[in-house]
Amino acid sequence: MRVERIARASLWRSLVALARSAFESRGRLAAVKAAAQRIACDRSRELLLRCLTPAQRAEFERTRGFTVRGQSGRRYRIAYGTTANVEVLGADGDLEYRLCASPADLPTTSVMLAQKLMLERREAEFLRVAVRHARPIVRDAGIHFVT
Amino acid sequence: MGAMNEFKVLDPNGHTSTTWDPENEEELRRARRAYEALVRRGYRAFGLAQDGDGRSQQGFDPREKETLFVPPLHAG
Repeated sequence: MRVERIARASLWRSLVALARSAFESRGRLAAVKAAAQRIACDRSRELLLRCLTPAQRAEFERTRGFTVRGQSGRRYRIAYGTTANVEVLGADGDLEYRLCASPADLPTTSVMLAQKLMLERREAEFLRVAVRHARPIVRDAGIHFVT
Repeated sequence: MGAMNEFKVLDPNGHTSTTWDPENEEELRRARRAYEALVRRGYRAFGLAQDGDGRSQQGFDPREKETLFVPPLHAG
C-alpha cells in the first residue's frame, strides 16, 4: 500500500515537472518568434526608408505614410497598413477612393515598399490588379460609404 | 573575385539577400536562372540605385548591382 502511494506521488511529480517544462518551452518559443518578427520588421523598415525620397521619408516619419506619383502623374498616398491602404488623391489632394493590392505574407513596411515601386514604375499593372474600395465619409449620423 | 551583385527578395523576414559575382560564369548562370525563375513565378524586378531609387527591369541585366524582387500582388 505504502509503496503504491509513493509510486503514485512520484508519478504525479514527474507529470507536473513535464507540464512545467512544456509550458516553459512554449514561452521560450513564443519569445524566439517575437524576436524574429521584430528583426524582420526592422529590416523591412530599414529597406523602405532607404528607398524613399527625402520628402517621402520626412512624411513617413511624421505620419507613417507617404505620397507617390504614378507615371500618369496621378498622386497616391500609401498609408501604414496592408489592406485598402492606397489612397487615390484628387487634384486638390483630397482622398477620392482607396485601392487594395498587396503581396501576401510580408511585414507591413515591405508591403508599402512593394506598393510604392509598383505605383511609381508599373502603375498600369498595379491598377489592373487593385480592387477599388468605397471612400468613407463622416456625416452627422455616422459613417457612410461613397463608391 | 570582382565586385559582387546582389538580389534582394521581399519575404516574411523583410527580405533575403543573395550575392553573386558577375565575372564568375557559373555564378552568372545561376543568377540568371534564379532571376528567370522568380519572374516566371510573378515576381517583379526593380534595379535599386545607390540612393534607393527603383527602376523597373525588363530582363536580367548582369550590370545591375542591386535588384529587388517584389512578390506578385493580390487584390484585397
